[in-house]
Amino acid sequence: MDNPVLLTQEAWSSLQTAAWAVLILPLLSFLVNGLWLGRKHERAAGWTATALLGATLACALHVASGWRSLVLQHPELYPSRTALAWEHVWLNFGGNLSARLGFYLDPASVMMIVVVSAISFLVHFYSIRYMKHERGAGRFFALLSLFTFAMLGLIVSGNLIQTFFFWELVGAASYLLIGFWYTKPAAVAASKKAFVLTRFADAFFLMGVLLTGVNTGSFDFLVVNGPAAAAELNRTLGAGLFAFKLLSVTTVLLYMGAWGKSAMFPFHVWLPDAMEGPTPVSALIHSATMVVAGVYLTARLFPLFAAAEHTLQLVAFTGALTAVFAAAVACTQTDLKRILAFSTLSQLGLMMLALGVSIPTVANGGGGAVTTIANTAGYTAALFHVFTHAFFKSLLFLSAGVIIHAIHSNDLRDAGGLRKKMPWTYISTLAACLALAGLWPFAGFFSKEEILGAALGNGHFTFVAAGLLTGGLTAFYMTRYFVLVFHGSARTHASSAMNADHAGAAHHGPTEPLLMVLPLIVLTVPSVLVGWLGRNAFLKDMLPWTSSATAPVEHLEAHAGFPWMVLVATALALSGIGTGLYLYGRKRWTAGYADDRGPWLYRILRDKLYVDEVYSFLIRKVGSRFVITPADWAERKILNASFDQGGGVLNKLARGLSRYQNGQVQRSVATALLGLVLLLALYFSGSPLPHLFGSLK
Amino acid sequence: MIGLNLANALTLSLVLVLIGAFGMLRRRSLILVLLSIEIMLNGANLALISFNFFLWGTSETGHYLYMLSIGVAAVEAAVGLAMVIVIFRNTRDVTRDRVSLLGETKAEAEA
Amino acid sequence: MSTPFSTPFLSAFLPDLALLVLALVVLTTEIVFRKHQARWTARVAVAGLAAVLILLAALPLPSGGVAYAGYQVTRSVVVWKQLFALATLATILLSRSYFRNGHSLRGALANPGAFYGLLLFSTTGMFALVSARDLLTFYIGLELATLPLYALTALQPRNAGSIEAGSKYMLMGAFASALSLFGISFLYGAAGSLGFDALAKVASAQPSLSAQPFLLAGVLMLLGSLGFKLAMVPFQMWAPDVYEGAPTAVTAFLSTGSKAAAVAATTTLFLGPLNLPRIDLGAIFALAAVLSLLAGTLGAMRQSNLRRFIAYSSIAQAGYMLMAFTGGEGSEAAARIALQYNLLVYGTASFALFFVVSLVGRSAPETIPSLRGLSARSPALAALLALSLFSLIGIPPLAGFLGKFLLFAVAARNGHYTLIFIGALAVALSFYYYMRLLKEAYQPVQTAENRGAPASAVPLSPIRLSLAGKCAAALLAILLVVLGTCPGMLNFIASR
Repeated sequence: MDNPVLLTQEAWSSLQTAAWAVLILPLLSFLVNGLWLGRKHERAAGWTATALLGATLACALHVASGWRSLVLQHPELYPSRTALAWEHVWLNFGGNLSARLGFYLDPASVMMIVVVSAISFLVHFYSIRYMKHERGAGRFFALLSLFTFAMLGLIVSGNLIQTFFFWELVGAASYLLIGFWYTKPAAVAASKKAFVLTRFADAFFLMGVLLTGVNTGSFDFLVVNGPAAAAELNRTLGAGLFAFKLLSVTTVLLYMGAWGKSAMFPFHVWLPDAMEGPTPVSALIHSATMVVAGVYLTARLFPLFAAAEHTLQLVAFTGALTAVFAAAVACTQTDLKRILAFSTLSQLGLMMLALGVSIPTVANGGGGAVTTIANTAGYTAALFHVFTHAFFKSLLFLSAGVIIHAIHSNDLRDAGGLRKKMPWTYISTLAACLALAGLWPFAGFFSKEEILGAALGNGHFTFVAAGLLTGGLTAFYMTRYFVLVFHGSARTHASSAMNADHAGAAHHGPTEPLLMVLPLIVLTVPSVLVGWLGRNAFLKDMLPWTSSATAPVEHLEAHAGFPWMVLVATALALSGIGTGLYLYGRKRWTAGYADDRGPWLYRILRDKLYVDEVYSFLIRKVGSRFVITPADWAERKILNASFDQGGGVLNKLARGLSRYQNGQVQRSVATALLGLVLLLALYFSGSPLPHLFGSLK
Repeated sequence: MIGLNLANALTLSLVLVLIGAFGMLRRRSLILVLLSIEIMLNGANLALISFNFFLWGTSETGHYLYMLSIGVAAVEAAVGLAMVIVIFRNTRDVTRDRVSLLGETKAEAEA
Repeated sequence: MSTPFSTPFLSAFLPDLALLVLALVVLTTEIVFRKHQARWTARVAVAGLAAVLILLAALPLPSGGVAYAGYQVTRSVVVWKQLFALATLATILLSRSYFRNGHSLRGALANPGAFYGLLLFSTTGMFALVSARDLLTFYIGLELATLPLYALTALQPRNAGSIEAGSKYMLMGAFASALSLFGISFLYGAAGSLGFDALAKVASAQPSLSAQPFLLAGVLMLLGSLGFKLAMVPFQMWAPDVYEGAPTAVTAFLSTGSKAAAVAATTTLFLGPLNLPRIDLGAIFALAAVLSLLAGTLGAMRQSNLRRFIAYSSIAQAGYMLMAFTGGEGSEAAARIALQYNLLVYGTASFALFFVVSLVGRSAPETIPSLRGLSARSPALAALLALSLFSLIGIPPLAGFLGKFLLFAVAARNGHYTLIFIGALAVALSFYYYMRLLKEAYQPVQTAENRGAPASAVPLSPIRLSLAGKCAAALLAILLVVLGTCPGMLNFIASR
């Protein structure tokens, strides 16, 4: 009892049990619902799944607290704050290579399992009511639990093979959930698009995984992230024009996986379409969990990426591009969920940007030496933003679900004037919007400040500008969203009928069903508070793994703030909000932008804050013509169209092949003979052609 | 003057194989296609015994394989002729057109 | 080298002898049990195969294996034989309903004795093929494995498709056989012996390969003839027609057992004595893999006939498997394991697919539209179909995922990243065509699209599974999941 070693052992074994449970409970929920409950007892399925996910959350919290007391508070035992709860050999490749299934605990994974299980629990709970009248609700809960299981497995994996395994499983579960309404052609198309595009990116990822494994002799993050692995990979292949650094190639390939999964430009086209799935799915998968898997992977491999010469620049660049582009497109959308989807894209871009700016512009020597990580503010900021964003973005999606549930439409133009009817939704959405816009003291403010601070601290001024621009645009489109949904008057029959009398309410049940609003209220709390509460913990402990522990003090010092930056960011956010209010804050909604009259508040805003004038001019004239319209056009005409075109080309090729295959024996014989003669000729002439697919060594 | 040496024997066997392959491509009658296959097999067999005779005269392994392959060719011919007989019974015709019905175009027409 | 009739000798060769005896017994059973021949031949064949499997698993084998004359048995050979025996067993179980009451639109199969007997002779040929230690045994094994299949394909003589498929298969097979004989004669000319040892010596001794034209010509021709059996581009064109025409059970065997034999034969030669480091055979295999993936993918995309679809899918799968031959020196063991695992997994998924196809085919033509409404007719079958397709695509945690990963890992050993990339792309595209089946299966029958369709095209009666059918479906489903999640189990079984 008094023996501390014994106590520790007990705590360890309880931690291990909880770690097992974190994975097994969602799987159990999937099996129970998928095989048994889901088919006959759909209501029971929802409650069972929710209860099991609640237990998962409890276990995740237990793991977190256990990790905190056992690992975090014993830096002498665990200098890198990392431990393995358990690990089993899954498959032996022979030699030292083996695939293992483990439960890897470090600050990032502990944070993520808590966030994922919490959001998943709330989404399950919310779905009980949301899916009440849907057919196949049992299947829905089974798949939701399967997804949660896959996501948790992905988070806690300590090696690339397990990561890849769950990475694909997450993709498959997401495919099944997006296509949940499989009788709806749009949903089927969207799910296919999501799956094929992410699989396309995964092809690169797989190459990266194999390259890493073959060259470093291990798939474990602890080895791969170490200096030895980076040194092993740091050699030049090829010559002349085709010379390339193996380390850079490997890390870029690995990043490609994240690129697709986190829907960075131009792979982003699948995410807005994925909104065809049920709204709870969007809340769970396409805001808080799966799409941040790419960010998470990048963070997981951060030391390796940091050792490569240009990879982090690429990360930052794609992040910045996506952040600005998606924010601009979000200004033009009229579908509630698509606005949120583009907003998610933009925020994911910010997270990537934060990871990418973690290395000072000049300090990275490149060449042979492996850079030691001195300043990881960006890493911390990215994961901090993952943390805060998860809460307010899932809140936004869930509240959008309540709205859609009430007005039976996804269209912004069908909403309006819902403030009175939906007070709870109104308040929680307001909190989430302000958090997303990054206003003090809401959660988003703190993480955005960290991101901008990291970029500025390392001298990436372009990326600071991109971050600021994104912040302004975000505040603008969220204001537009908010005002158009809740203020003004009802614009169409659907919402006006609901506003006019309670007959509609009698038909459709309450406009704000308690079971759906409860998660909103629960999520409002962290959306407001986590930024302020979590900041110090993140700054102190959320550090990338290194073979030797970095001194936290030095790390904290790197965070010496830039007070003016806070002011600028807040001013931009406020001006975005102001512009949004100025343009849309009318009783009557018009399709155009300009209308001179408005409530006195907006007039004051317009008269006093001339920055709004400039801003609205920028949006209306310059922005609309040179940023938003082209971005929107590129989105529709180039990216989506090229995806469709690819299918057409394949189809033509297939037709040609089937015409060739006419079923006559002599054609088969002739083809075979031709092939054989070509083969013989190639080899006897010593031609290099057969080596086209030769090895790259 | 053409002497009997390895090069000439191999050339002859190659010619036989090519004649057989050409017959497979050109003949319409299934029986002649089967005959062409026999010619190909004989070409291959000729190569086998030539190698044994000219290069590796001390052993007889090549001859063994040759004997066995005659048996295999006989079995193939038997199976082939059996099929030709069935086709003839079904359609009163043993041209190659009778075995060109399955194919993509037809599959598409079905769909 | 051990002497004949010593204990290790017997324990190594007993399964093969038992199988040969079994094949003969099954042929005679037809005569003995004239009245209930279908039932009894099947029983004898199943019991005998089970016994062979047990013999294969239980008999001890010296760690270095046993070799006698042109025949050898090693641990890896035993694993191959187990795969063949399993495929044959599954085929027999699948074909039993064909004999019971003609469960197919095409009518019943005749002569169960001949059917099972030929199947077992083919399996015996496969056994000989993987045990070969010289080209003579190899050639005989190859022919013995293939010849019965021609007859099996043509086993519905009243059906024009079946007989056409049989003759096509026979003609292409004979062509391939002539090619392999020609190739073997060149190899013999190069080595002076048919033994693998002598061949390996010659293959590795010569300083430059162009100085050995006989060897090179022989290798390439033999590769071509094996390409036929593998259905590898450009030798694949017979496959769709033959798969379409053959009886379903035979198609199943062609795409699993026969494919496994072809892969095993390729392994025996090209990861064995003809593993030539100097001639970059890996490049040929890589090229063939890419072309096969392309042809399989393109062919499957627009296909509506289920069997032709499966043929193209199997061409694409052959493409993946060819990747295992690109690993270069030192990768032989890994390649063999990857291939064996893959064939097991692919075979399981294929049998699950054929199981569904044969049940759907009882009342409707075997086309993709016939699958429509399957989820309503039998949710269990639809779920099995989904599992099997997901495994073929390679979605974790199903077995196909790990299988593909292992193959890619072998290719990565030799730096074939272009190939891996193309393979991974093919996986992404395969999703498109496999999903077409699933889409049909889960499509509700009454939709705007097909409301105008004739009622006969949409069979709606629920499919009832017999108890045995349910067990088979459950077993296949469990295998698909368990093989993927606990591959370590296989180690346990194989290591004995």
